[in-house]
Amino acid sequence: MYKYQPVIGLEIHVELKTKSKMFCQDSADYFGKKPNTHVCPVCLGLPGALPVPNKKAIEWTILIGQALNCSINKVSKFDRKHYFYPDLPKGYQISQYDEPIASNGWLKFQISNFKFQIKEKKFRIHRVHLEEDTGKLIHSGSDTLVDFNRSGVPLVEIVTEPDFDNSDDVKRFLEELHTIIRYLGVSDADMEKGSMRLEPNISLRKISIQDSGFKIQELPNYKVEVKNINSFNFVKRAIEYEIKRQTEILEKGETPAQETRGFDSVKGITYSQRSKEEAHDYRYFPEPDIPPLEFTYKEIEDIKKKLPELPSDKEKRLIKEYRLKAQDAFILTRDLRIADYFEKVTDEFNKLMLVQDKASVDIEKQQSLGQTIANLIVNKRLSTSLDPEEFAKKAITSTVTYIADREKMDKAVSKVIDDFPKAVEDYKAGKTNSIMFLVGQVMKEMKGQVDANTVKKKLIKILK
Amino acid sequence: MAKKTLTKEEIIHLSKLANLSLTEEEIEIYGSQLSEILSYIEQLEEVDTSKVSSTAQVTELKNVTEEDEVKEERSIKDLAGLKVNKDNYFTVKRIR
Repeated sequence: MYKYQPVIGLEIHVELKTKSKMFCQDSADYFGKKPNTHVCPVCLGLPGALPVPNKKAIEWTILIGQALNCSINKVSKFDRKHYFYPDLPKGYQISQYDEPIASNGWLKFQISNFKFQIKEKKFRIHRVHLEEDTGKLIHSGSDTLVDFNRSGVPLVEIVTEPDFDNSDDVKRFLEELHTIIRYLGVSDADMEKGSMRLEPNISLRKISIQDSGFKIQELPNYKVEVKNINSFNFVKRAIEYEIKRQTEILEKGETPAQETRGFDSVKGITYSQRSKEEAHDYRYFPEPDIPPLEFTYKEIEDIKKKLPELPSDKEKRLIKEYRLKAQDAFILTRDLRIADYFEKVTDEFNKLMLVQDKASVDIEKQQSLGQTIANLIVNKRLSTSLDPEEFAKKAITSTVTYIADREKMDKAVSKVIDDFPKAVEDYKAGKTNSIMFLVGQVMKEMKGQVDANTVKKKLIKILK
Repeated sequence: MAKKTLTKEEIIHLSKLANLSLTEEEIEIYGSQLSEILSYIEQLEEVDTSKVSSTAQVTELKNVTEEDEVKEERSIKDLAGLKVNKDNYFTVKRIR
């Protein structure tokens, strides 16, 4: 008996949002700009031009490495990777080959399986290195048009170990990575603009299970790469398609071709891209124009101090500190702005409550203050574009009843019950809808200065 | 001195990597010239390097970087005379 187990690794490219390019001082802000207006002799690869690395891009790559628990290599260098393609004006890309800035890291996070059991999973990071982006190509008629505004924009490549065996974990990993990059503030990581690009590589390992229960694993002798996908869902679908396609080939006793494929998101299939005529022969060699990079322990530690609280840590802290439900803490921490907003609102809420007489305050629901605020944000009951203080005030109006107000409300409720005996009778006779009429009358009596739900609860209690 | 002669296949492979299309005659000429160059460089193998650590550069510089600043004056303003279309795209023969 045997079965196939997917072996999946990932390559992720992230464009850094530095002001200038990686090796020259043209603006790196290329999106939507007139073609070839952010170009200079360096990024056009003109003879004699001298590339000089952008300090901030190097620091940010170190920061990404640290966020992914990598060791930062004290010595690092750039190399030339040669190939001919019109998006590459120099005939080579400046990249890093055998001495990347960071290596041997990991990322772990909570993941819930199909039974909604939560488990912590850890995936290893092979390396993080720094390179330059290429120009943008548009194929038009008999021409290919080239815009070099993007050429030379700093690009970080993150490579994982082949630690994944299913598409759900991959998607979750990519979402977590995306959130981390956004927290670091080093890239827009905007999938639609292509500032984060995803390349899964997929193969299948055959596991033979012998009668004794002993398992024999065979390493796959091929690897299929799916290039340049710009959505987490597409990655998931591309992987699922590949697993199915490769299983069919293997079951016929054949081996899938080692190749690069593209993903057609409309048909939901991958397709063979013209396979390179021969195995990659990039002839890497050290970039002679750029002296090596060396970092002291102190420099590396100083950059580490700039690491913000990362999403999974923040998630854990919110659960503990504000007694939030895990899924709400997860949702709030997906966007740093929302997570910060939540904490600010909670803070404002507390401040506003302090000036009230504590004894007169009664939070309606049996839940933490934090959870109350979290509900308002997560369920979009109040807009997060409000100023935090404004949000807190509104939150108080809708969730807190003061004793003074309560007395007023009690009076209004009694008055309405006296004034509308017919509706009361109807309700008692089982026409439960008439409660809403009574609620409306109380609201009217109180000029709307009361929460409808509270009134409803009160009425039901009295009329029961 | 050992003379390294590149095979015809190696020359063809190298010419592809260098994006050169060579005629039979050129393969012959460049092949023998390249072999000669290699043999010349090979003389370096006679130097005893057992006590020298390897390096990728000889300038002894390190950490030469620029601040993250845009210097527009370094950008090329006018691409006139180059192969650009009316929308300022460089154009090449369609590649796929």
